[in-house]
Amino acid sequence: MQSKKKFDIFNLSSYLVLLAILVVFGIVGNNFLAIKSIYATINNGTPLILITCAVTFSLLVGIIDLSCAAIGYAAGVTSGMLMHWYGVAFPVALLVGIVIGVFLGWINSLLIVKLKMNGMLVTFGMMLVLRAYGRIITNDNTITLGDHVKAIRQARIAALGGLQVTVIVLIALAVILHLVLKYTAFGRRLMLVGCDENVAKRIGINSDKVKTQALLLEGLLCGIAGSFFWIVVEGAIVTTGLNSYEFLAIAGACLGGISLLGGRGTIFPGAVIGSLILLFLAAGMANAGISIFVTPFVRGVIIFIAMYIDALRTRRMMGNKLG
Amino acid sequence: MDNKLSLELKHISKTFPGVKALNDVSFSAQPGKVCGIVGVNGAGKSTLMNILGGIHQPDEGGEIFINGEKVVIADPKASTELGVAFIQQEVQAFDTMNVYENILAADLNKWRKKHSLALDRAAMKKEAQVHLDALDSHIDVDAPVYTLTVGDKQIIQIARALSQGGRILLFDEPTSSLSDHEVAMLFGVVRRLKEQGYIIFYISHFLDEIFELCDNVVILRDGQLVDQAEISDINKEQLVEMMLGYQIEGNTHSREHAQDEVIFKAEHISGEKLPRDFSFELHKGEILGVWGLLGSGRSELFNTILGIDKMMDGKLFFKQDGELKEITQKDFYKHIGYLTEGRHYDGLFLNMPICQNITSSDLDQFAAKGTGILNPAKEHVESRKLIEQVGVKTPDENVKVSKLSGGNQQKVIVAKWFLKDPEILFMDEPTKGVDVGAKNEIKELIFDKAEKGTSFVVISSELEEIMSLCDRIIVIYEGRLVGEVQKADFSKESLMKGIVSQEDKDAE
Repeated sequence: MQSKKKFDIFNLSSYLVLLAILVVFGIVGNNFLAIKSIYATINNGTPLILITCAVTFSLLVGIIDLSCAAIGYAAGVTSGMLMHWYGVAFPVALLVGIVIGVFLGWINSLLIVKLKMNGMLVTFGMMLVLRAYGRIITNDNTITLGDHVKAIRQARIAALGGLQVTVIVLIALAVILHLVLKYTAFGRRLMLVGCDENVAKRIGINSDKVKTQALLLEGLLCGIAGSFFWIVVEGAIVTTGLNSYEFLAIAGACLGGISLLGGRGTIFPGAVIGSLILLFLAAGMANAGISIFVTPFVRGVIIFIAMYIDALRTRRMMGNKLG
Repeated sequence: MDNKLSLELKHISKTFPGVKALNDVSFSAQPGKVCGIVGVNGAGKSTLMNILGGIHQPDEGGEIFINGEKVVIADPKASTELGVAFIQQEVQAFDTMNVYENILAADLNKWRKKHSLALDRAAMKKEAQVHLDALDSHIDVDAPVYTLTVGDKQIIQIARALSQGGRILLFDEPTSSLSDHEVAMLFGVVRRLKEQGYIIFYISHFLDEIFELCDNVVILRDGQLVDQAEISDINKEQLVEMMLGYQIEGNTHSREHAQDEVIFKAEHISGEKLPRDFSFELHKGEILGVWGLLGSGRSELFNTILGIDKMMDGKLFFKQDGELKEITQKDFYKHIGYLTEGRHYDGLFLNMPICQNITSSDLDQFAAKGTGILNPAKEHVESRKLIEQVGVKTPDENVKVSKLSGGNQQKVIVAKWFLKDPEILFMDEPTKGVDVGAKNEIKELIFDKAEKGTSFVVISSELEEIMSLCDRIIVIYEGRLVGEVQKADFSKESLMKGIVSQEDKDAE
C-alpha cells in the first residue's frame, strides 16, 4: 500500500487550473492581478460561488438540481419587489427571500423524494416556472433598488484594501458550510447516502430524510444567494439575473471534483475553487479584450477537460472495485 | 448440424486475488447430451461460465478446445462467434419491442435492405419464425414482448441464441422465475435441442431438475471438479454429499447453550411472495441458523422482517424493559444490525475509507448532542480498536475499502456492526466468498459476541458451516417453516428431512 502523503495530481488539479488562469491573464491582461480587480471579480461572483456551494449539497446526494439559480432569482425578485413596492426594510425582505428559498427546496424535495419523480426534470420544470414568475411580477422591467441596498453595497473594509463586506459574508458562509459538510453527522450522512443509497438504507439511515435535508439546505442557500448577494451586488433586479447560473454552478462543482453521481465532493476546495475558475476565466478574458462571445466557448472546453479528469478518477476507483 | 461439434476444457484454473476460484478443472461435453453442472455457492460454477463467456481469462496453462481446435475466448464477442450462448436466470428482453426484433436484435445490420437503411421486416419475421419453429413454439412473431409470460420470454432468449449461431448452450438457473407449467415447456424445448445435437449445459440448484433433465453431471466444490458421473449411476443423496464434501473446517465449537430468555419473536410473517406464515423465536445469546435451498426465501425472510420488503402480514415482538412487546419494523431496526449477502451491492461504501465505513453504523456515538459535530479523533481511535479486534489486515484505517481483499472487506462489515453492538445481528451468508482462514476467524468473532449476550440469526447455504456455527437451525422451504433441529441432532439427514418430506408432498 502506498503512503497516503503521495503527491496526488487529481486532488490538486483544480488549484493548478486556477493558478494557470491567474498567471496567463496576469501576463497578457491589463492590470488583472491588481487587488481591486481581483476583489471586484470575486464580489461580482459571490452569487455564483454560493449557488455552486448550494448545488453541491444536492449533487452529493445524487440529485442534479437545475432550479438552483432560478430559486435564487425568484427569492431575489420577491425581496426586491417587497422593497420596491412597499418599502420593506432590507433585513425583512432578505428574510422573506430566504424563506422562499427554503419553501422551494421543500417543494422540490416533495416531488423528488416523496413522489420519486426524476430530479433533473422536476427541477427543470421548476426552473421554467420560477423564471416566468419573476418576469410576471416585474413585468419584465429592470427595477433599480437604489437606496434600499446602498449601504451594504458600498460597505468596504479599508484595512483589507477595500474588500467588500459581501465577500466577507460569503467567506463566512463558505467556511461554515465546509465545516458542516466535513465535521458533522449530517454532512457524513449526506456523503453516505450519496456514496451508496442501498448500503445506507441497510444500516438504518433514513435516506429520504437525508435527501430532503440536502434539498432544504440547498434552497436556503439559493435564497441567500438571490436575495442577498445578487440584489446587493447588482443593486437592481434584471430579468436576465442569474441566467444560466445553474449550468455554471454545476460545471463549477464538476471542476472542483464533485461527482455528479453523488457521494464525493467538498465545499473547499471543491465548489469554491471550481466556481472561481469559471469566474476568473471570464473576467480574465474580458480584461484581455477577448470577445465575450468566446468566453462560453472556452468555458465549454474547460468543462470537457474537467469531465475527462473526473472520468479518469472514477475509472481508477472502479478498477479497484472489481480487482 | 455438423458432426464434429465438441467442447473440451483442459486444466482450467482461475485465481482471483486471495481466492482460487477454479483449480485444474478438466472435462469434455458431447453433443446431444445435457450436462448438468452442480455445486454450492462459491464452488466455481459462475467463474467457469464466465470463462466460457469470455468475461474472465483462465490462468496460464488452461486450454479450451471447441470442435477439436484450441481457442482463446478473449471477450464476449469471441465467445458468441464460437457458438457459445447463454440463457440466463434474468430474462434479457426488450419489453417494448416485438418478438422478432427481440430475437434478431443482436445483429440488426445484417437485416438492412440492400442500398437502404431500412430494415427488411418481412425477411426478419421469416427468420425469427424459423427459429421459433425449431423450438416448436407458437409465439406470434409480431407480438410485443411485454404481453408475453416469463416463460415465453425465456424461449425468445433461446431463439435469439440460436439465431446468433449458438451451438453450445449454457442454461444458468433458467427456471428460477418460471411457473411449473413453464418449466415443463422449457424442458420440452431443451430436450428438442438435445435431439438436434446441440451441446447443452444446465446449471441449477434444484436437484430434481438435474435428475429429470440431464444425462450426466459435473460436480464442483471449492473450485475443484469433484466428480463427473452419468446421472443414472448416482442418486440424490450421493450427489448432495459430493456437492457439500466431508471436510469440516475447524472444530465444532462447544459452548454453553443459549439462555432461555426469549428476546425476539416473529409471528406469522408473510411477504408479498415469500415467506409464508413464518414464525420463530430467538433466545438471548443464541446463534440461530436459517437453512434452506437457494430460492427457498431465506433472504426474503430477513428483508420482510426488517421492513426492506413489504410485510403483508405478521407481528414482531421484542424484549424491552424485561417484557416482550410488539414492535414496529422501524423501531426494531434501531436495535439490530443487518449484514447483507451482497457485499459489493449493499454492504459497504466502497469508495470510503475503512474508518468511515465502520463508524457509519452508529454515527450518533461520535456526534456532539445538539450540534451534531463529529469527533474525528474518537472515530479513528474506535475504528482502530475494532480493526484490531476483528483482525482486518490493513496498514491503517484510512485505506479505502475497495482496496481490501474479500475476506478483509467482510471483516470490516463485521466490525461495523460490532461498533453499533446491537442486541440482534442478522447475518446473510456471513462468510460467503471468504477464504477458509478468514471464515474461521469470523466464526470465532460470532461465538465471542454470542457469549456476551448478542443474539444472532444466520443464513448460510453451507451445511457444514451452519452446523458448526449455530445452536439451533430452522429449515425454510418455499417460504415456510418446515423443520427445527437442535444442536444435538444436527446432521445432513435431519436438516434435509423437512425439505425431502415437503418435496414428496408436492410430488403427490
